[in-house]
Amino acid sequence: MTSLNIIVISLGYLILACVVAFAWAPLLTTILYRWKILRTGDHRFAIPLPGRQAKHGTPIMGGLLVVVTVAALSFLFNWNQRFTWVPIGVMLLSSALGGIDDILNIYGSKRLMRSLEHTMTLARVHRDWWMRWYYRLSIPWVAYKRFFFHMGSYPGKGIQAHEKILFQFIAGAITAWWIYAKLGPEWKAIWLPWSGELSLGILLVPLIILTVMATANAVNIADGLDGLAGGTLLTAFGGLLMLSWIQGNVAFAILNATVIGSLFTYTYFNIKPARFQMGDVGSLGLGALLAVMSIAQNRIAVLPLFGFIFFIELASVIIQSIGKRILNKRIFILAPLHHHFEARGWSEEKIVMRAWVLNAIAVMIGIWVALH
Amino acid sequence: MNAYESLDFGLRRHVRCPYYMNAGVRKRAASAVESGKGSPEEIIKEVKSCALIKKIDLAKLSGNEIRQLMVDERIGIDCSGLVSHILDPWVKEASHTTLGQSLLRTQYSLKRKLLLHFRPFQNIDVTLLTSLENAHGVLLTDIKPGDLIRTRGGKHVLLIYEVEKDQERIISFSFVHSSDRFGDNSGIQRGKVLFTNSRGELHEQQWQESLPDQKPALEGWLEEREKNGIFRLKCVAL
Repeated sequence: MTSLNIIVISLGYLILACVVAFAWAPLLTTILYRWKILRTGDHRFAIPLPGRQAKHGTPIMGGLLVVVTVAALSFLFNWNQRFTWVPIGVMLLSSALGGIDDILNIYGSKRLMRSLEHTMTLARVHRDWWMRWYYRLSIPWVAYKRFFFHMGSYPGKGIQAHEKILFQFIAGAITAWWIYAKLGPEWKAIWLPWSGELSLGILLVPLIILTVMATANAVNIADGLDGLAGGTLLTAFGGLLMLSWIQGNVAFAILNATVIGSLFTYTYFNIKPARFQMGDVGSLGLGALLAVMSIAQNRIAVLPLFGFIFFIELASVIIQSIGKRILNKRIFILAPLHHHFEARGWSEEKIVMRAWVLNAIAVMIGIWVALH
Repeated sequence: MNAYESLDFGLRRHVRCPYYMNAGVRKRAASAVESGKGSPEEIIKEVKSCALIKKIDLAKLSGNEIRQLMVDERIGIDCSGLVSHILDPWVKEASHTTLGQSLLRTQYSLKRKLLLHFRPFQNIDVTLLTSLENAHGVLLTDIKPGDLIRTRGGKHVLLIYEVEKDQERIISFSFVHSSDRFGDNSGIQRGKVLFTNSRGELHEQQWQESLPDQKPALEGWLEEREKNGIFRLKCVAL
């Protein structure tokens, strides 16, 4: 198939995804309102931003528009065992995790967490011997949970950090298994700009797992302002689409095109004032998909450029955590970075549009680098 | 002590630091100021950040309004935080080490050692300051500036900063603490104890510090006497 044919076909799918998403967006909005899947108070902020109260009552889980459209169109027209099963599977797994989190945050009740000391005491003094063994065996799990709690994870109503990390690890491990064991030996080397390919052997597995986990969380963190994640993902997947045209991979081109088409619709509705917000269901799923596609297209080295804004946001959270926990000072007024600029007086529109432009520039640089 | 009593926000606005304690957040790796253990500089910086976030122009607020903002946003200092920050330079002068490092030497658990090393002020509380490893009991007739008065059954601490003597006999001492028992005036407070009963216990002396209802504060001295007492940090006594 010629490059022009791939471009024509994928653009057709892009338009189709866009139209399909527009067609069922009103239904999704109605469902979200009917089931009261709406944003409530922000428990995550120690100091709530004044403008955020205006967002209360906006439906969340709008990311379903993209996830369902992409999954349905891929299932119907692009169901390729070698190339699209795993990306769609990982996206759906991550989306399911985010969806459960979104729903628990609305309908769930506050979850309690037993302390390590209490568990150890119960393991020693419980009157039933089998319960003592149960508590003894659960000590590593409780210690794992408490680690995240002490690192600042908010024990709210939704899925907690330690559970998210575990699920994302599984999603990363599935991707790693697919690349390492299923796609053949030529996929075991990663491409590096100006130096050809580097064979990492088994080290490729932890690299893939880490990339999927980091990217999913980065997109999740960046999804804090109307239009920010949607518009930035558009440019990121735009870069991947151009790469799939250049690489001549039809399945990847169609998959990237359907993501872009449905993201156009999503962003149309998500521009301030948002008709709905992405929610974890979209941000975790699309973040994982972005990572999987960059790995599958063997351009993991330019992923930091394709997802430039996401990784900057992720870095700001890490830097702020280190600052607060070790250096005992705020590096940013608020983290993630978009809230820092909000606190500095930038308007939401200014932050979002500058993020789009910056990411588009980074994607262009990424494509240029990827061709070397 | 003076810095906490008059946090300088410029334009001649000086604010007395309110009380704030948050042991729960402290456990979860928050910064010192978020835990109620910040230095005066950190507290001022936090108030400025908070004003930026909430789009409040600090320059337009009076001292009282800034103090109210601090109370609303839970920015302040707790008793052990205040005592630790006052004692820290004192310990540095006496033993050429920080308060956190001095207390760290008496800890056997690796977790406690790491916490005290990296996050000293967040992990210093009344129990640690007045534990038998770090401090020893002092008789009322032997008190000196720098001694600690543990009250409310071990939940609150006051710092003696001045002792007045008539020849060898103590006639009064002054203390400072941060307390939540003063209603709208919670926070850093100074008080004085006059020795009116030379043979009496500490709670039988005349406490010149009043709660809003004009009753003497006493800070729980009469409530749980077993754990109350006067202590001297070993690192200061050296």
